Amino acid sequence: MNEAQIIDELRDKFGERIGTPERLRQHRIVVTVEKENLLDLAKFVKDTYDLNYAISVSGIDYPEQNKFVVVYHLCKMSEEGHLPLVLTLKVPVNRQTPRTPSLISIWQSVEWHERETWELFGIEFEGHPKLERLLLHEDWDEEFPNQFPLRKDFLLEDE
Amino acid sequence: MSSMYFSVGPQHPGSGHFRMKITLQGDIILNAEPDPGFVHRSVEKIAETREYLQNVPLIERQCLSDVSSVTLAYAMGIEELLGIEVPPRAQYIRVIMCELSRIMSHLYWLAILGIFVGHSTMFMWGFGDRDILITETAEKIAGARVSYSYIIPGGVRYDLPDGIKEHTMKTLDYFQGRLKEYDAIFFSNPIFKRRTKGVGVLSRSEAIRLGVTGPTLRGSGVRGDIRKDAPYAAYDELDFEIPVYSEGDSYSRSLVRFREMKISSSIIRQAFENLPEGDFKVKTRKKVPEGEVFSRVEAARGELACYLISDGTRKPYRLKMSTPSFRNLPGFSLMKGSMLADMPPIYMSLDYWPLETDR
Repeated sequence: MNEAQIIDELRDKFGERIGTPERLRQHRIVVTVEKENLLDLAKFVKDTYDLNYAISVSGIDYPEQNKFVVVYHLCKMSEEGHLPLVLTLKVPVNRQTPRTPSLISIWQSVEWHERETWELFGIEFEGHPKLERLLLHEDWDEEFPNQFPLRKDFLLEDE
Repeated sequence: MSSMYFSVGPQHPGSGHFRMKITLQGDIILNAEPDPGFVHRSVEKIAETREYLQNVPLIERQCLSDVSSVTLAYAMGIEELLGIEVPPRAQYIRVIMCELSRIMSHLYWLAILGIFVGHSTMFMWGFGDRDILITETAEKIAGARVSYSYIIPGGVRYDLPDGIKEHTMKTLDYFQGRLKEYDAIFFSNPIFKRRTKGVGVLSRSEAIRLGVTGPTLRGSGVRGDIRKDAPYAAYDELDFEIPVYSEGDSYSRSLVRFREMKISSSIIRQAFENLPEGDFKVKTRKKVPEGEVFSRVEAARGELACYLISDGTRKPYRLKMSTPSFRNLPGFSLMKGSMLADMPPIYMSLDYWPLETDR
């Protein structure tokens, strides 16, 4: 399956429900999708292109645009190794009510990544079985209530 | 029978501060849950406040046994955003450093695995050879033993010194002999085999489902290696194989790393034989154009991905590193159902590095 075909197919299948799929360079396709359509799109790309391997989940904070973006990087792994294509799903999340569905029902491997993003950005992943402290220390909530270190409004001392 | 709950760690259970929460019944592990975070330094946050070049020494501290790969992933990301081509000589030098770094990391792992299964000779040999052979070669090339910040955006910091080819070849010749001795005393040792064969078995489909990477994946029969699948630096011009074992137990994961040391030596030889003349770096700009890039390398522990977002200033807007140890965290579920005495070999067969997980 070549990359232009994937882009065409996603556009035909989802139309207005997703942003225009963009090819950043060879082997990199980016699709923006609202959280309402995320599960449908995720199921479709997993079943159709066999993207069975989640590499990473990241959060990005855009305070001026009042949003977070949750980014999933997916690829296909077979017995013979990785397929070089990486499909990126970007999910904008409102900054006041940061909630988005968890993709753990589709990719088990996002479990720890989503938990990290929950902890450091304060983004709620609906349906995630275990959103608990991971990297920060246990007393974090007492010392810094409702603060999340990777948000842009959390400043380091020397900033 | 009632069960018992206890912690292993956080005081340095193997290779860094980290805790495992173990529930035990009799001698059987009912549940093993990793609890990372004891060495979290928020590297990703600090990286947003430093200039691109200043971040090189910062990010390499996440994995001191394998610094070349992480700095390479970061440098590749910046180069792609800047749209610059790295000279071929620098690409070859990067391969040499990455493979030296891989051997360094695997020797560190081998030494600790040795002491974990009660083989103190392997511990002495592993650390001894690592210091005398490999870190010394790295020091001659990069000027420091471990954290050398040698790979920078645009190339490498210095050209290779005179006589380094002869030195490295001699070192590798000697190292080949040592690998045979490791095999005889350790990998063919019936006690070591009994301790690791059939212990902590991870099936192929489960390995892919859990998203594990690196030797842990290749020990379960999946030929996944970024050096072959999405070649970077000069790997597409070099001839090497990817060791794969399908048993999925602690022994096959160990054998993958053992064979990789030999293959890495051969890659270093080839890189020296084919080393092109020319520049070892190109000039870069301090301001990086707006954009995003996702660069992947195969570090010693597995695939390391660097997601870099630039807003056109001198500092990264966001730097996310998806590190192999973090992705191998689900592998701790392999301990469930094993005996407590099998915990150390399973732990080491994952080659877990707490600092890399915590960042």
